[in-house]
Amino acid sequence: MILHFLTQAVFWFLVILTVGSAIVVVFNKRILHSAFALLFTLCGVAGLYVFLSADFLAASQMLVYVGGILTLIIFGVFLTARMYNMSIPEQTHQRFLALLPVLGLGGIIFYVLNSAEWHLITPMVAPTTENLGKMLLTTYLVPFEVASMLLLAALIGAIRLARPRKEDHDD
Amino acid sequence: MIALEPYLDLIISVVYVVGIVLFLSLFALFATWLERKVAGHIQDRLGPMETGGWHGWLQPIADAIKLLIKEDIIPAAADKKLFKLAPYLVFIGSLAGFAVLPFAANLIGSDLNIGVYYVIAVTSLVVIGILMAGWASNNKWSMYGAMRSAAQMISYEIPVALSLLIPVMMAGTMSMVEIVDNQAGGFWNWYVFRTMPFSLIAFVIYFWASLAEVNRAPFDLPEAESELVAGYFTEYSGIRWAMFFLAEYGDMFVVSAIAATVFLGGWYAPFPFLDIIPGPIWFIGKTAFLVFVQMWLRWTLPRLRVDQLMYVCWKIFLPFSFANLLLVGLWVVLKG
Amino acid sequence: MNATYKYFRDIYLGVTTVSLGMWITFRHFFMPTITVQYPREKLIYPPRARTELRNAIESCNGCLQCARACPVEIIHIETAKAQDEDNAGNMPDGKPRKLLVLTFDVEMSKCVHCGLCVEVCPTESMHWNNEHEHVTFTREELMRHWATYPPEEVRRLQERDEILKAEKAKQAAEAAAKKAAAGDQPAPKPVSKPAADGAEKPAQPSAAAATPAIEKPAKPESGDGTDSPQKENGKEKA
Ligand code: SF4
Ligand code: SF4
Repeated sequence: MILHFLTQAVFWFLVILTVGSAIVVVFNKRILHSAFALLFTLCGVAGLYVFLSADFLAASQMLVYVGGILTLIIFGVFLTARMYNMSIPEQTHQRFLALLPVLGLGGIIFYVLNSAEWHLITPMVAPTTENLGKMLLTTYLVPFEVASMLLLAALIGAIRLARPRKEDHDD
Repeated sequence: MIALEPYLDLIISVVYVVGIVLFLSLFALFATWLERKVAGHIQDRLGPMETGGWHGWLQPIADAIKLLIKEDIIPAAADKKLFKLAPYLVFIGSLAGFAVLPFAANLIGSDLNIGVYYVIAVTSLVVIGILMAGWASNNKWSMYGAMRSAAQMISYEIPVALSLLIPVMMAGTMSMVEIVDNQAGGFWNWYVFRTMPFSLIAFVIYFWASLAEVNRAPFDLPEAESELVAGYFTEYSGIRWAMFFLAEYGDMFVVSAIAATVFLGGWYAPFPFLDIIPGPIWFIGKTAFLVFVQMWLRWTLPRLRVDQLMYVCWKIFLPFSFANLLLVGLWVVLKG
Repeated sequence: MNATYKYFRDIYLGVTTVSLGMWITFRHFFMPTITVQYPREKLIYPPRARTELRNAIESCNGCLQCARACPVEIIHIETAKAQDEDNAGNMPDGKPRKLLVLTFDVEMSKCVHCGLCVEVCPTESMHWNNEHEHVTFTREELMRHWATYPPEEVRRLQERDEILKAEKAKQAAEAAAKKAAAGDQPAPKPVSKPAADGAEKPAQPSAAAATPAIEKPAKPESGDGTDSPQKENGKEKA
């Protein structure tokens, strides 16, 4: 009874954490607060993955999104000029024009949610890592490799762009 | 009478967490004392000698009390919310690592199937906490410290992960307990000494890269006191500063404990007949030895420059880790 | 090729030098420490260390050499001629004491530790006492009083000195007048006599001008000056 209640409480805590901080991300005026609020959204999502007994995915979420992408975002904000008192407009002047894509996107998401077939599975506390690894190297090898090639290309491209040009140097 | 049976797990978890926090505090107290003693004796000094009689053993407690009753200063121009939040984030990130440390076969917070991976993942929280602290302080030293720290931790996460993969590959699992179990029966079964010299190189790379992960000398650029005052915690004082401090020593313990787990046979004795000494003592002993080596290195080597730091990571540790990984992979495949 | 060689050489050097450094610090870890636990253990200073001044007042003959040598003029001495009634005793070298040292004050806070007063002292009563903890609670305490005469005694002796001097001057003047009356000898000779035996005259006004700034408490520091007669310094000089 109490255990069940505790589980529920943790679940709702995670949900509120995720949604609440996502709202902060969108509506906060200071860009860095938005970036840091994103941390809690991502952690909340990782927690929800744990509830879905996707342990490997949760850890990857932390490692990739919190450790990598969020850090990059914060770095990006840090390197922006005038970051201490920069405010970003969180409203648009063309509200009606903005309504169109919002409604369109919302409609699509709603449609997908409605039309998809949802399977209720009993959460199993079985390790997923082994299956994940096998599938990544067999069934989904091509998408996996394509994604890595894409990332590699982006990496090399970024390095190429960041390098000073030859003519910039006198020596 | 309420049946306690269903809540046993819960109660045990709570007790364990409290125990770990206590252990972490005690370890930090001991480590500060040890650090000053090691520093002193390496420089032919004595270190603290007065408080508490025997070799100043009460000095860390005096320091802790001083920290706790100190005024808590928040700079007027700081970002107050983030400033208050940051130390907890860093502390949580360090404490979370303790969850999967196997003090003994049964004395482990949670034998996660993804143990090693989990540790690497939760350390990301520390990076964010440090960035937050640096930014919220509204101080250029804090800012530089935070930037350096984040850059360094992200870079060195790669060699750390790659060299941790080697014992993972050899054991065929990421669970801490199983990795240790695969190293039972004498020190020649430890992963450092199997597949010589690859795993030894992996161990060395892991150890050095973990120094950078926890911002210890010679990679202590983020808190380089001679140029940045104290880096990202320049503006912190009192209990919040103590949180950073605890987190730092906690991190030292965690990275050393992982090295002891995956390379040095965890809770197993170096010789089978020594197994009568209980496992946690071996585990903590090995970890404490590695912590001692960290301190020893700190008082031996000068601080690196930023470009040297990056050179060591990207041009030396990384290629060697990759080559290591390939060769050990080959070894594992050939051995079947 | 060259770059490859350098790369591996760097790694080799890195590994070996770090190992060497660790070996060195490891050895130092077990070496005896050089720390002196200060308030409990104290270092013995070398004999010529300029620590704190001390005057062994019973061997000081009041010659004022030190007061003149001092570049910052912080030694203030007042003397009076010894008379038979004083029972002044002998100097350490056995000769009878000629001058009573009424006050001997040193403003330690202004001392620059140049050591000139120690150099010039003919009796070697001015010496370094091999202690360095001249810490006090007030500035006044840094004014060192080494003479043992209480203030009223000082005043009495000074007055007696004045009277004696005046008498002497009178006698001299009378003698000079007699001589001048008696013969046709020139004046300079008798005048030079009183000037010569009042050798301290030029020093006294300056000392008198400087001392009133600080109230002298009637503190007979007899233990202070007598317990350390000339320690190593005497031997060292000899
Ligand atoms: S040592 Fe001090 S008292 Fe002696 S002459 Fe120098 S300044 Fe004057
Ligand atoms: S020089 Fe020596 S003897 Fe002469 S007054 Fe000074 S301390 Fe006394």
